[in-house]
Amino acid sequence: MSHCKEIHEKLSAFIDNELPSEERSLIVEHLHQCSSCAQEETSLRKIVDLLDAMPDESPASAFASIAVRLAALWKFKELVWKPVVGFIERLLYPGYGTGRRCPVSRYLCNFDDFPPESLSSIYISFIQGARK
Amino acid sequence: MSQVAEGNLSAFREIVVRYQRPLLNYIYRYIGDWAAAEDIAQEVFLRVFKTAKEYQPLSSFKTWLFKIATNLCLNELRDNKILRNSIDIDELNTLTSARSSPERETESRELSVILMKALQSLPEKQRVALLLHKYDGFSYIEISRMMGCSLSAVESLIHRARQSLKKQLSPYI
Repeated sequence: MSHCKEIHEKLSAFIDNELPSEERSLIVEHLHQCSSCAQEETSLRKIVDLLDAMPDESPASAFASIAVRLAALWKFKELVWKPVVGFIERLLYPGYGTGRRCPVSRYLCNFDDFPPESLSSIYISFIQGARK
Repeated sequence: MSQVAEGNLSAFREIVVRYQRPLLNYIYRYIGDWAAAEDIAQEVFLRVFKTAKEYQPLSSFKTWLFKIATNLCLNELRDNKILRNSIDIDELNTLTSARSSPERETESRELSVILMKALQSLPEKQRVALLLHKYDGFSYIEISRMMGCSLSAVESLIHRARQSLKKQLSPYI
């Protein structure tokens, strides 16, 4: 670990506290003795600081948009997808009408978690949540 | 997540509230397009809701969430659905050298634009590793699991990313 090149390669992990303590101690020791590596470490820290200072963008609440998308998804599933799957099942699945559902259509209709009556409650919950 | 799987919408809402900001900022810095980042973030949350029943807690929820986001970003970029701000290194050099006085350094907006451009110019893997660590606090070991590479590879990716930024942003440091 005494070579500057090896030290340089480890400097980012050192700055991020991602090195085992023995390795860390070796680097600390080296930085006290080598001005070139110390300078490199300072430059990297400045880059870290620069990135830290980059302001976060504040998102508008995603609730309303997600609620709208969930509703559109539900509409498509209920009004288009499920009837089509049901029609194909009736045509092709011999067990239709016996109470057993075709395993494939059960998979295709995995949007049962959006029953019609939950549509308004989904929207209301989201709006209420967004207002809190 | 188990509550979300049972259709508990307030649990889902909490997830959205908690993660929308870091997730959206991660995606934005990854692809460099705010509108597209919003779309992808929504898609991530929708996937969480839809696949909640299949969720296996093999890793932390946050790791799973950001992995979905990373994959969606990769897909979008690879399918060229998003026209990335093409990064012109000469343009970046012009921007960084155009500073006429030290006072201008304080213009954080300008600096943000330059930083965004510099981030976008990084190779994809370096960018992902750096962003996951810098903005979302993932450890190197978590990043290595998410990216499917070794710990030393993550070390190297993050280091090379910073070296590259150091070179590009030398007027600011």
